[in-house]
Amino acid sequence: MTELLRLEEVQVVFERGWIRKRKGARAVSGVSMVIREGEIFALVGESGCGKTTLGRIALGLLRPTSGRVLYRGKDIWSADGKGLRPTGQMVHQDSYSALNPARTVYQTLAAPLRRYGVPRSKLKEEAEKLLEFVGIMPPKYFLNKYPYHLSGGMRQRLVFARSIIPKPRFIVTDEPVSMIDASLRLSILDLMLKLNCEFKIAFLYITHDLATARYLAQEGKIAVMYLGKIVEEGRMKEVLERPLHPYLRALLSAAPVPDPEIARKKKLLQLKEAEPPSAEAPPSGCGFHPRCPYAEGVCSREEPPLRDFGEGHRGACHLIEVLPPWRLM
Amino acid sequence: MSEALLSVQDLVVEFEVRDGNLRSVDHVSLDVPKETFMGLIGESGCGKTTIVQAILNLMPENGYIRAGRIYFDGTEILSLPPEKLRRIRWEKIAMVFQAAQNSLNPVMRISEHMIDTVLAHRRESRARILERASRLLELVSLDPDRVLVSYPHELSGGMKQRVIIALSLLLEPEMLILDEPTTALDLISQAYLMEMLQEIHHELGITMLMVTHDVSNVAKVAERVAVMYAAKILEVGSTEDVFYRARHPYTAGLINAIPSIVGDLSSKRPIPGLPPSLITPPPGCRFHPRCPLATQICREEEPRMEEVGAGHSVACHHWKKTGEK
Ligand SMILES: Nc1ncnc2c1ncn2[C@@H]1O[C@H](COP(=O)(O)OP(=O)(O)OP(=O)(O)O)[C@@H](O)[C@H]1O
Ligand SMILES: Nc1ncnc2c1ncn2[C@@H]1O[C@H](COP(=O)(O)OP(=O)(O)O)[C@@H](O)[C@H]1O
Ligand code: SF4
Ligand SMILES: [Mg+2]
Ligand SMILES: [Mg+2]
Repeated sequence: MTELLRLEEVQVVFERGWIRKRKGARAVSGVSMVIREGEIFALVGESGCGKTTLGRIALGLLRPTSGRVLYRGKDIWSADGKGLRPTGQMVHQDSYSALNPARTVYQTLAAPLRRYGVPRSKLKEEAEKLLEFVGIMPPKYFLNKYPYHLSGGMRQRLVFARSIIPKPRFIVTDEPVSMIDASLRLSILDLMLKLNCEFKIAFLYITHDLATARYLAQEGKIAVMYLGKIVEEGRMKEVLERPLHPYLRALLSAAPVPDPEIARKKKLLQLKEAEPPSAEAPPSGCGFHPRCPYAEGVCSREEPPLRDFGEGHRGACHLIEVLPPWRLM
Repeated sequence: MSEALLSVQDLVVEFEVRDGNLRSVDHVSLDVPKETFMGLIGESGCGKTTIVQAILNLMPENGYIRAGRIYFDGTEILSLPPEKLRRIRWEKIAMVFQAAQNSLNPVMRISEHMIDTVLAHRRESRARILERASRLLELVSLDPDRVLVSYPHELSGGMKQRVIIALSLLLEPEMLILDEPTTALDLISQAYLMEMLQEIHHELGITMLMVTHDVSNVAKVAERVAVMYAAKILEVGSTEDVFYRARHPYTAGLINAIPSIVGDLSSKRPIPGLPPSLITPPPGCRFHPRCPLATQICREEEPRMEEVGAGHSVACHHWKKTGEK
């Protein structure tokens, strides 16, 4: 698969304070990653770790404080890359605010269809095709409805329909199913899989939920973020079977499962601190060391690099070689 | 099974809204046996919070309990005079509301919250209250010396939630009701909270009713589970009955729609269709428009709760066929 997007040592520092600007949180700190054409990439981490910020960087919506963003090999923020914007789209959790409440379903789709060269006479037909494709059926019935007539799932489908009009090469979805009823969540993930399969659209799926990440990116990749850094990445299957980093192990041990026997057998990895430190005063060395049950002296002194443990499975922990073997139960 | 500590019988609750009457609890009966950890699951908007509000008769202004009886330890509590009901609330049944973290008063230290809570109900010396508060804070894995002198904003979301739980236990209630206790917490804090609730349940022998939209959340801690859909309870049973031997097509479908970090994903499917409007629910079985087993009778006649095994009840005309492929 050819490379679509490459982030190199990307860093984002938000300034804080109105009057005297102070250096604030490093929301993203030295992240490198590659997304290939047609790949599904899950970016997992807890609140505030920098997922959304990284998603905005990937789309060229936010300029990193330092580091490079390469789209098909070209630096999008360099002088000659100017005007080059990755042809990506963003879908976030709140489908209601993503849609103009005064526009009907038809109007929502017709405006961008026009902009992308569909002749006026074909607009209705094209809009109906799109609706059918994303599972808003029957299309004719919905054309004149307003967003508030639609359920959350339908609205999210409409957002996807609109997002594929520019024929994007990738879509960043930020918690797209967190506001959708549990019984319907898979249908939205299935729609993403369909878009991936039919149009080879690559996805960066941002979530705090490992279970939906696993469902969507079964054949794809996962990166786990903690305090602005990627602490582990690799192929989904491999990473969940053999998690390297103590933080990912803690997440897996904490993830609830819909099966009482497994849930009761699963042991919660006991951390030294239940709560993460604030992003404004990140710990020295490894960001996880104040909570890590395995931490040793080196962990608070030196920042662990992301090291490759074979086939792109990488982890950023000093002690990976000496950690106890992983067992979920 | 031991006798019910809390028994909800034929409860009907409505909200008066612009478009008419929204019946968010429709002839619901539910027993919570003594010293049991019970989970009440259902998707958002199905009426879980309404049940809990009705149990303590704490309905919002436009909400009305239209029918039903609620027994606590054998006493019908809905018909009690307000003063008596107030005593049962908090002293016998404590409650942790949805988004309760925000209910702490920002200008009061945690110690003052503890003292106020007790003094609102009975006379007791500050020293004794604080002693009990310290023990409870330890039980929820907080450091009393640090937390008692803190203001709410000095604590993280997870810590506040644990403070709220300690507060709710101060009056030594027999039952604790928790409405979505883990929302707004990070995954790891959620897991700690659930483990802690389980410990409290074991150590204090307290009866628990935990309400959640997150099906996976009850699998580990609950002994019994009730499943709610569109203002009705459709299935009640042991946690194993509900997760492994679900007899209601909705329960089976819901559990099969929840992805997991372990196990096979290839058989996972969403449930087609949408939950119905509670203002104009479909006739017959409310699940029939989405149900793979629905027949004529399902469209016409409402299924009644039937006992299908020991302590396992289901409201479905075709429960015998559920799970057969
Ligand atoms: N515009 C901004 N100005 C200042 N700080 C910001 C800004 N946007 C984000 N941050 C900070 O950067 C960090 C990362 O935020 P980000 O929104 O990327 O996290 P996230 O992983 O998406 O979290 P969540 O899961 O809660 O959505 C946080 O500490 C946040 O407070
Ligand atoms: N104060 C209220 N006024 C009008 N409708 C309400 C009110 N509270 C809840 N409802 C409605 O009652 C139904 C059940 O709500 P709720 O009990 O909060 O569900 P759950 O807790 O299961 O998410 C929903 O349709 C909701 O919109
Ligand atoms: S009563 Fe009929 S429609 Fe309702 S769940 Fe059972 S089979 Fe399905
Ligand atoms: Mg975010
Ligand atoms: Mg609720």
